[in-house]
Amino acid sequence: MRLRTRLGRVGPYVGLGVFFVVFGVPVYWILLSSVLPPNEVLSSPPTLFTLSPTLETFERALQQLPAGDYLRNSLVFALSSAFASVILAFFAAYTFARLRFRGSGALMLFLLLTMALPQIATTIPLFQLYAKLGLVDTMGGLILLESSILIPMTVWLMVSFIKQIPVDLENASFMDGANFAQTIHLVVLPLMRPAFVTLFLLNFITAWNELFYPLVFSSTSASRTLTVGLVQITQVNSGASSRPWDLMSALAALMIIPIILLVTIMQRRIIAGLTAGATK
Amino acid sequence: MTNSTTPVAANASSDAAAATAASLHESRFSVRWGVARVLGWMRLPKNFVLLGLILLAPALILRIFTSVYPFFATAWTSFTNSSAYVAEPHFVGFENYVAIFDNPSSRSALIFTITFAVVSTALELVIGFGLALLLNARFRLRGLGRALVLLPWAIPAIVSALGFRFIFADGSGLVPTFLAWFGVDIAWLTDPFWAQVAVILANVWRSVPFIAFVVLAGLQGVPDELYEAARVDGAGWWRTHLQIVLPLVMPVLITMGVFMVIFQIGTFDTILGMTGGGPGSATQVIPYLAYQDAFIGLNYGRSSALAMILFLIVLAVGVIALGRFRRAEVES
Repeated sequence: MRLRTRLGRVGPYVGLGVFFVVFGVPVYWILLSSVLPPNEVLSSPPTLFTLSPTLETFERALQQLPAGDYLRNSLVFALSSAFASVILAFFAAYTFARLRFRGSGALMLFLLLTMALPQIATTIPLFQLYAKLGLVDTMGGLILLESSILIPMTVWLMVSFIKQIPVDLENASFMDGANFAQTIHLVVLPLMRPAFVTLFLLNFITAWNELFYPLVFSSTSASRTLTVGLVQITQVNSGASSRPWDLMSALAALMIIPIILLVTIMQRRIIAGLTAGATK
Repeated sequence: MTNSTTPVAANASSDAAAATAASLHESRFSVRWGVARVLGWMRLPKNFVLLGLILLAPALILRIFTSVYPFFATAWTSFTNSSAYVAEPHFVGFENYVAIFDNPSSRSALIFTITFAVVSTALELVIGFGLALLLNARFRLRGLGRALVLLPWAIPAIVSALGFRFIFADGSGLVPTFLAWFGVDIAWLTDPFWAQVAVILANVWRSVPFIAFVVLAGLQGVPDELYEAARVDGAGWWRTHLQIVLPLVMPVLITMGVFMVIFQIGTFDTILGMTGGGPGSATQVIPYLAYQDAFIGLNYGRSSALAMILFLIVLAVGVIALGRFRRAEVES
C-alpha cells in the first residue's frame, strides 16, 4: 500500500519525464546539429552535446544558399496570409454570427465543407490558371492560396468567439446612434482582440510551416520559402551519405527558433485556439 | 436537477427565459435597424441581406476561385488522357481509374495511405489520452512543460520529417544507436515494414500534442466531485480513469478520431521528407504519388484520378462518421 501511494506520487513525473524526453530530443537534436562543426554531424556514435558550439554552419548556409531570401519570403508569406485570412474570416464570421439571413447557414456549411477538398485535388487546374494569369512564382499568388485555405477553419473558430460577446453591447452602440462601421470599430474589434491574436498566431504557424503550395508554385528565390529551400537541398545530392545535413540543419534551426519563441511565450493563447474548435 | 426545483421556481425561470427570448428578438431587430441605418447612410438599398453578402463575398469568392472551381476541373481532368505529351486531351472514361487499380504500386500506395491514417489515429488517441491525464495533474513548471509538449505540433512537418530521417538512419541515428545497447538491430529505413513503422511513429510524434490538448480541455470540464465520489466509492486510479473519465471524454475522442483520419489521409510532408515513398514504394501514399504524377511525370489525367480517389475516401469516412453520430444521437 505504501509502495502504491509512493508510486502514485512519482508516477506522473516519470510519465511526464518520458514524454518530455521523447518530444524534446528530436528538436534538441536538430538544433544541436546546426551548431556542431561539420565533421561531427552524423558521426557514429552520434554526438550528444558540445562544449564548443559554432555558427560556421549558418555562415556557410548564408554563403551557399539564398537563405536570406528564403527567410524574407517565409516571413512575408506567413505574416500576410495570417493577416488576410483573419480579416476576411472576421467579416464572413460576423455575418454568420450576427446578420443571419435565409441561406446564411447553408453558405457557412458550404464554406466549411471546402475544407474537405484535398489540396492535391485542386492543384493542377490552379497551376494552369496561375500560369495564364502570370501568378506562378509570385508572393502575391502564394499568399492568395494560403489565405484561402486558412479561411474555413478561421471562420469556424471566429464564429464561436464572436458569439461569446454579448449582443447587447452592439445594440447599445446602435441605440446611441453609432453606425455599422463605428460599432465594429469601437465595440466589436476591441473585444475581439484576444481572439484575433490567437487566430493570427495559429494561422502564422500553419503558413510558416506550409510546404505544398510553395513547392508547387515557386520556382526561383523570388518566392521560395524556407520549407522549399530545405527540400531543395535534400535533392542536390542524391547519395544518402552525401546529403548536406549540416546546411539542412542550419535552415531547419532558422525555421524552428521563431516557432520555439512563439510557443514558449504565447502557449496559453495557442492552446486556447487549438482546443476551441473541437470542444465547442 | 429539474425534478428537484419547485413549481414556483420553474415558473420564475421560464418567465426569465421568455424575457431573454423577447430581448434577443428585439436585439436581433435592432442590429437590423443599425444595419439599415448604415446602409441608408451608405446610400445602398436598405437591405439587410445585402450587407451580409458584401461581407461574405471576399471569403466566398476566394474559396470558389482557389478551391471549388479547381476541384471540379480536376474531376473532369481525371476522365481525360491529359498530360504534357498530349496536345489535344480527350475523354477516356474510367481508364485512369482502372489503370490505378491495375497497377500494384499504386494499389499498395492506396492501402498504405489508409493504413497510415488509421494506425496513426489509433495510436494518437491512446497516447494523447494518456498524455492529457498526465498534463491534467498539477506539477511544477507546468507552463513550460506544456510549451515543450506543444513543440512537435508547432514545428514544420518537413523539418521533423528530415530530422527523423537522420534519427532513424542506420549507424549514426539516435534510435538504432539506442536500440543497439539492448541488442536490437533493425534497419529502419531500408526494410519496407520497419520503414512503414518509422513514418507512422514520426507522424504520431507530431500529432499527439494536438489530441492531448483537446482531450485536456475536455478533462478540465470533468467536475472534481466526480473524482471525489469515485474515491469515496473505493475506485482506484485505473478504474476511475477508465470507467468514469474515459466515457466522459469519449465524444471528444470520437470527433478527433474522425477528424484525424480525414486529415492524415492527405499526409504529404512527412513522407516526402522522411522516405520519399521508399524503400521501393513501401511508404508511398496517394497525395505524394499524385504530386509526382502531376509535376514530375506530367501525367495530369492519372494524377487527377488519384486525387479524386483520395477525395472519395475522405467523403466515405465523413459520411460513415456522420451516419454513426446520427445513430448514437438517436439512441442516447
